[in-house]
Amino acid sequence: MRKIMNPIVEVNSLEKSFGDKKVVKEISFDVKEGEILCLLGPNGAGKSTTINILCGVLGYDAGEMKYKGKNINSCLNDFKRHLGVVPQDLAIYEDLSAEQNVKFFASLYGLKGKELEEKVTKALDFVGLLEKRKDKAKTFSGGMKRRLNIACAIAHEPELLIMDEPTVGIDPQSRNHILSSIKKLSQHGMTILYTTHYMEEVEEISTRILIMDNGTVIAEGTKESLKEDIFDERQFILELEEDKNLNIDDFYKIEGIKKVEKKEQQLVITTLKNIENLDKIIAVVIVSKSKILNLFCRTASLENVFLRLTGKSLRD
Amino acid sequence: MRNLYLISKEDFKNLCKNPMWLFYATLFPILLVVILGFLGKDSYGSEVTSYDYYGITLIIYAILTSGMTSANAFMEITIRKPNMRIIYAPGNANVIYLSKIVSTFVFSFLCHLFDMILLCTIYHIRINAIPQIILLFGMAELFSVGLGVMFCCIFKTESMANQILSIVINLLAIFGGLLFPMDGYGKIVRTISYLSPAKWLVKTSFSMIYDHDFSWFYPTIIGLMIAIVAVFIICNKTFRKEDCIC
Repeated sequence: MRKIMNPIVEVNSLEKSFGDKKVVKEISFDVKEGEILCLLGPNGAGKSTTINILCGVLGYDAGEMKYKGKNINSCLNDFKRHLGVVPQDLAIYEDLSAEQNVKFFASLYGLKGKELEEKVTKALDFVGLLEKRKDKAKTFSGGMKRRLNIACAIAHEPELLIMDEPTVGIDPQSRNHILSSIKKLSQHGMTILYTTHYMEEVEEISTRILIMDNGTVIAEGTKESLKEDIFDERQFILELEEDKNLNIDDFYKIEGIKKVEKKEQQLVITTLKNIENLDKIIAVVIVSKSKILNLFCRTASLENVFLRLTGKSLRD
Repeated sequence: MRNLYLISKEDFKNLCKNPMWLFYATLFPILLVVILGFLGKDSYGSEVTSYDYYGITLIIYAILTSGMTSANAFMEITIRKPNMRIIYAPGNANVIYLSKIVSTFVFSFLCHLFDMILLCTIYHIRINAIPQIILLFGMAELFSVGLGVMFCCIFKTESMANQILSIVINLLAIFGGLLFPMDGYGKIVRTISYLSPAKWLVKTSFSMIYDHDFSWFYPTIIGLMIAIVAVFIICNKTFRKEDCIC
């Protein structure tokens, strides 16, 4: 188990407006050393704006950002030297080879000579493009270009890697490759700030999650704690045979039962999570001489968490 | 400074690899001189031929159009995306537009020098005061390239910048007498034509080549220097990093 360390970046009461529209509303969060912090939210939630402010590309109206305790504006170049960014768009030269691309962008961070060569090779190897290093980026598939986009951001071995929806529009194979690469980078000690609107990705890689909507942070925590805190219930789904004698009202006599629904052969029982009552539910079924074919337990997903918090689905 | 060099070098390579810009900066001015020189040869004498006239004026025209190359090198979509990554790198963000000015200046100036050497060889175009002519054309090239980048900084898109720039360049060219002499159109037109910097360039060049008269040289150079400084200041004031986000 890796140890989560001190915050690398702290954001306090950050605000940003475009014209009259406030797109980031007093958000505060920190990114701790070694973690994968996922910024989850629908399109237009303010994720990319927050990222761009943090990278120094966009200005902001109010608030404060710190890098290792120092105001970022006072040490912007130092911060940028330790920062890698994978933008949402492919920021590569199509006419250059994979190697030339990585070499050029890495050289902007002061790398040169043998060190540059070694780090470029390492980055290309890491994203699985070493064999294609001499091929021009324009000959690559969408997924390969995304991987090259990542190689360009990690060649200088940044302390903090910011990834803005790096898997948008790519095939599942490349997506899996990228996600496993992210986990590997984290194991090597890199801190990662990852924005996405894909729940599955967050479930797979996150150490901590920040849920954003309408420019504000609406929840923060690990995936387990978010589910725990927001949902106090779980569902038992029973697939039954010969349920003619089953009386639904009998279930409501059991402690903790909140709702019982019968859907064809299925019985969906919603109950409080912290009350152990499965034995009593099964007992009711047995007494009614019904036969249980299958039994499932459904707990909350991040999708449910988001739905509960915002009243809308993430992909609405 | 190192990043400025690295980015300029990469931009220069990109320009050299683009067949359209190579054609536009090298072959297009030659074709213009060949065609207009041929069409106008009966209107000129045997001592100063139409090729002598267009060999200078159309190179000046080509120099003015370099602004369109720099606008493209700055904000064309395939360049704009990698620019975004340059913004994320440490260093001064101004290197983005400065590198486009440097690379396009070197690229266009080399192409136009090549054109002049080729035209002088083929058509025996008379050129005197070569160092002064090179300095004059170099300064004009820098101004023009800076103007293209400045339009991009102001209008934020390459297409908008180029549309407006092409109108401005062609008006300056016509009033400056680059495409055909304006002196025969009366006193008013002649006076208006002096509002165009292209006219000063033509007047200075021809004065130095044919009359060995350098009286226009220093005022024109000083004028260009002021214009270049103004263009750089406007670039600095209007360039915003967020414009590089695609």
